[in-house]
Amino acid sequence: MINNHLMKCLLKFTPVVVFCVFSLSVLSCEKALVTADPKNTPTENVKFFWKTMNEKYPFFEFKKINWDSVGNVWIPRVRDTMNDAVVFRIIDSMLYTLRDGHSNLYGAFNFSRNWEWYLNYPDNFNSYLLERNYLKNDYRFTGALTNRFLDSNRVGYIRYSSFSSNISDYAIDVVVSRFQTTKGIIIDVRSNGGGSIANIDKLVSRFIDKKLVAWKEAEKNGSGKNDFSTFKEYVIEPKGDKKYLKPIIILTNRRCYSATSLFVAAMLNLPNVKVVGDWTGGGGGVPASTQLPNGWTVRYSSSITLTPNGFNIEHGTPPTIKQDISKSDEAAGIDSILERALSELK
Amino acid sequence: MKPFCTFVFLICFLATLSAQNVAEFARQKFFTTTIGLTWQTRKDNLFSPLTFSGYGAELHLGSERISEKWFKQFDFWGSINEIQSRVNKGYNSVAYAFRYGIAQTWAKRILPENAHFRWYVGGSVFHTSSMGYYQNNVNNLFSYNVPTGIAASTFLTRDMRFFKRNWQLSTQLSIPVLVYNARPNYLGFVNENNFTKDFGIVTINKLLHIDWRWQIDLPLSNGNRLRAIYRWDYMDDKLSGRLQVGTQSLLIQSLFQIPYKKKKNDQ
Repeated sequence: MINNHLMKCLLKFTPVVVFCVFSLSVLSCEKALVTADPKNTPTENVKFFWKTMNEKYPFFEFKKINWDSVGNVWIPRVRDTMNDAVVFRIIDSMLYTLRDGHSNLYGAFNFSRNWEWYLNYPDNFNSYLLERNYLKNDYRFTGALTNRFLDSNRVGYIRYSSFSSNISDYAIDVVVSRFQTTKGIIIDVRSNGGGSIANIDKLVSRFIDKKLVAWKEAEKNGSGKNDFSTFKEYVIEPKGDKKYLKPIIILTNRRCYSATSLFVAAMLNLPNVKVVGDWTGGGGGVPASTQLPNGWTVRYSSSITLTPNGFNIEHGTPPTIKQDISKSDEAAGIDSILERALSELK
Repeated sequence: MKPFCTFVFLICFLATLSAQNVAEFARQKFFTTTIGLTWQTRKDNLFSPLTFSGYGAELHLGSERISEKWFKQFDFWGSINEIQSRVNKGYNSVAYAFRYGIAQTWAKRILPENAHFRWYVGGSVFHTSSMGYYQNNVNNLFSYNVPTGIAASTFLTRDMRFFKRNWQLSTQLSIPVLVYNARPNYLGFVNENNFTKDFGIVTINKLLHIDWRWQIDLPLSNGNRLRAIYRWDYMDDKLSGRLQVGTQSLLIQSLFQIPYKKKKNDQ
């Protein structure tokens, strides 16, 4: 009975039914409309990786890397029978040629890296020695900033170990106020691997009394090797009630990377700032990322950063005064870089 | 948020069932609340070559006015989906998709002599956004587009008698024709220094967006209605990179009748 009634209705509304069926069949074709994913095979993954880097990596020319040649060496070696570990190693080897701490491959079981920017250099930082012989018990943790007076209260010492640790306005104001009576301050960013650029603004803004052009930056904006945006100046504005405009010495080593290199480059624009220690590690390109067809994530540098006078900081920023911690000094409990900074402020 | 939305929807749903005001079918104004399940397929080449898909929830609030001459609709909606790529599940393959939209549609009835259908044709002004949070990425995490513009819209409806009850079957289609839109840059970043620089005026060749709804209404004796909606929404944005978002939603809508002020020229 119900079936008869249903059939009558269907016949009565044939145009509507036809339209519905047609529409619903069209509406279900999402898979046909959304472009297909690239093939998830070892060959396609390696090719996709090569192409992505070819179109988006900005430092081939600066580092004199022939990326075509890298592809010609590695891509023919890939076989679709290779397992994930081997494919990972091949992409890792290709990435290694970039000598870039911001360019990595993240898989489920490993992440690739090239840390030559600090491994082949003296460490120039010993936290044990610093804490036992210089900070002792008389220091403060003001937010992310460790600080104390040194040299009979004539020098202020600030240790900032990671730009990933956010600096509050309150914390930086407290520290700057605390050291107003000193002859100079030492900002120790050794082994600070970087983090957020927002923290550079916070920190630098208390050491300037007018706008500072910190660096200039151009990012890749097309697939061609020379497709870059025009250079944009990164400007930091002064902030805070209290400023510190007396001599400042920044301590650096090769583990200073990314945002730390930018901080050092920005501060070096100021006439009252010196850098003591080693070159920073570099890392001037802002990292961006994408995925491969197999789901692994590729991180890569995506921009070029120059100091206002045109120095590319990808390989680091040079110190004003080169100073290493010698083995003998370290054995004797002396932080030669910190000592050199103190003597500069005498 | 979730308990609040549930509460609002329940109140409106109960009000729909219990209201007593019976009004003429072809000239009504409703306050609408909608809730439903949605399935989203998303592919943004600026962030990943992979297609992500997954279930989520969709909510609408709005109003609707139908007369013999005019169809007017205000729709404010949002949805959230947890989406996942088909490969490497369980590792770095989960993202989140958020969408919202606000639109006002005006459509005038054409072919009034047609006794079988009431067909309304017009346009709408709208603002919508489709966002994705690719948590596996570094720095370039946030995918988006923000189209604002005008669209061509049509609404087709027909009364039916089915299982000894009156029903109303209708379909609604909206396609943007002129849009002010923005996407992240080539690297997938928001332009921090000048966000407006990323905006551009585009039309169908750069932004194809089809919002198609099929709905069946059950008019209640008190003048309110219950409506089941199947919504298919497909967006293909080529302003920067390529963003493709397909959404299918099954929605239940409660239409709560609002007293209608009769105008002289209303029929």
